[in-house]
Amino acid sequence: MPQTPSPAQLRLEQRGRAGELLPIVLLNMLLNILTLSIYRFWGKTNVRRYLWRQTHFLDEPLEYTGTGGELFKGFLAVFLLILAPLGVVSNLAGVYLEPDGTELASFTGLFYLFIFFLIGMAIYRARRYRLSRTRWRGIRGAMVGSSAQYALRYVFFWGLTLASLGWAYPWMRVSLFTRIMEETRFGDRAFRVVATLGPLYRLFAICWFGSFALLIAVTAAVVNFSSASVIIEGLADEMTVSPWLGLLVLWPFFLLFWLPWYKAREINHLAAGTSFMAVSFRMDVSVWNLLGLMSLNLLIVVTTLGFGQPFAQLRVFRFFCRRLRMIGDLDMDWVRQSSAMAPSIGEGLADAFDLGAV
Amino acid sequence: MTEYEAEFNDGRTAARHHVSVTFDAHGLRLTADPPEVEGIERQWPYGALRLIDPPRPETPLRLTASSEPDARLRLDDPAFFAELQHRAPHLFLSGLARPNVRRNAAAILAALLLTGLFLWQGVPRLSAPLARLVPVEWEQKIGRVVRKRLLAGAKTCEAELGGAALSRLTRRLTSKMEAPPKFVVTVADRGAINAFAMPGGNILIFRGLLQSAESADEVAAVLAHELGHVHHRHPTQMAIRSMGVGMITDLLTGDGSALVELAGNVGGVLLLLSYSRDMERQADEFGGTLLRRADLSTHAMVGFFDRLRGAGAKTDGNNLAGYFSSHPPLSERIAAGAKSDGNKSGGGPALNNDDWQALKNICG
Ligand SMILES: [Zn+2]
Repeated sequence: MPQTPSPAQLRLEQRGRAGELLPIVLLNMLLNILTLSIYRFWGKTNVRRYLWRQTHFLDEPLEYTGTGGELFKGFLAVFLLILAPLGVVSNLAGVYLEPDGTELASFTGLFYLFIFFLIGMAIYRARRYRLSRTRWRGIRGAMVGSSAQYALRYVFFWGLTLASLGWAYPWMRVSLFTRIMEETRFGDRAFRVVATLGPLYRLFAICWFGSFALLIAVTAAVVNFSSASVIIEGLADEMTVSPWLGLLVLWPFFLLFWLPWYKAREINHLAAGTSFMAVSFRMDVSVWNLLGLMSLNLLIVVTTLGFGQPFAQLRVFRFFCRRLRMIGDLDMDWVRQSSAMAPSIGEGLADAFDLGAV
Repeated sequence: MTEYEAEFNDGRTAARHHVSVTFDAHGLRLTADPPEVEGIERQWPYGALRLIDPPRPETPLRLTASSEPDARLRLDDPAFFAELQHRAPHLFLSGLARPNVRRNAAAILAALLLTGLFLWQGVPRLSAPLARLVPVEWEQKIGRVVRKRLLAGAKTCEAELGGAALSRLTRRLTSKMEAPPKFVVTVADRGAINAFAMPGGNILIFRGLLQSAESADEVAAVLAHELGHVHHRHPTQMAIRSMGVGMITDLLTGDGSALVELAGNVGGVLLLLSYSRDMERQADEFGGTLLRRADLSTHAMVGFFDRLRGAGAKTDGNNLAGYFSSHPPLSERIAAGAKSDGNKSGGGPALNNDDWQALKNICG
């Protein structure tokens, strides 16, 4: 074995071009319209095949082996076994429980809690399906954990995040990321995550207090401006009825304003904490990169009424591949085939909750 | 015999092996290169070969075999491509010529046809027996939702004199019934010429209908007809149909887009779908019986319809958009109404003139 003095740098490479994606997208559009959108499962599969096979690692393309039929069956199963019964139950509850009673309120609470649980489950299961259908050199990926356990964690942390006015958010992100990555396999090999909370909390604190600074600044500006205009004065008068309530309602939006700064740091931090065999990962994302990616993607999807989604996905792939570095020596020869069970049908839950980002 | 250089993954590890590939009569023969490496030797019959991706220029050809779907063979040589095309042409079929594409197309077509059949025949046939199973409180709940939608923010009219006239009219209609259905009649302050029966026995009459009627007899005829719908639980059947349609469209499009939600909405679809010919006939029969028992003219219905149709033709169909969209003017119906009309308001007008004026002005 030749010894390399300095650690090697490896990269994923996305060679996809929008021009090649266009005929796939146009055909999907046509067939979606002709089949009243039943074709969407096959269309989604065609797009994934293209995106996967244009992603190269060590000059070998990834491969997507899922089929439209699997997605279609997964969707049918979820619709008939979960969504339809849920719809019936919630309708019955609406009829038989007193509209203003505590029974209906607690039912509604439990119902939404369960929906939240299902969303957590959907995230995990969609990832399990996609990884089991992703191959590189014939070796496939896998998720080896339990989706229900992940979903419980998901519900717990979101509850904590809401109760703590956001303060549990970085903890949640690290915990969920660690969980999902450590249960991710390529072949028989696991990913490892060692991510500290300190750096994330430092930035989060700035964002959190910054949101109040912003809120106060905007409120002051509005109040000053309103003295000039009668109309806004009227609005401000209405606001003063319960200014504190108004502030509380507006505050989350101001927190969201700072979110991109936090997110860029989070992506880099979590990537740096992740390793696979002897390789550690680095992401190099700035807030402006991130805002550019998100805003243009939003524009693409909105102006094409959603049909342009695949182009947005291609941009996400490119962004990710361009900014991800892998540092260290990788000896893939020792990676053996995965023995984890692969699901036979795909992603029904994620489709139902519109989580199908890719 | 030409040997082609290739890369091989056996599907057990991610290690890459160099192999040389030759064509023989039955398939591809893979031998290790260098030959000492063990466990690489393969014989892949042409029938077992699968292309990973459709072949594209300047892209390596990647193959697997159905006997070991984890294994991958990768070749760059255009000469190999040409020879494979010659030896195993079934790999290079495109479009509908490929069996799995044909199978998927057939499955999608079958799903569409079945859905269409279910919407066209299944939902209407199931709605009547299902409507009988619906508990009354559920019916009333749906009725409230539909009513809110039909009112669309318009106020209900409750002027004292007009309200008294309206209840006199309904009492006269139902006084001779053995077991009158539970129902409530409300006038809504909307200009459209329309009237609706809703699940749970709510009947809604728009101000426009009262104003365009020439006599209380005509209003009584409309009311009797709507009571026929209530008696046969047609509104509940329609609500069931619309929910069925909503569920199917949800199933088809799945993503719950705004358009689908709109179409799937109970009230929305209730308006989109009109009563079937059979339902109208049933409502007419019931209404006719009611009118005759109350000694009221059954001719008024026909006259009202005829006049509205004439007016609609003149005023670019604005008036037609209302009552006729949910009650299509069937010539067969009108003929039947005219024929059965033996008694021209034997018991006098449905309301005296004061009451009729009060009813017309119920919205103030
Ligand atoms: Zn009718």
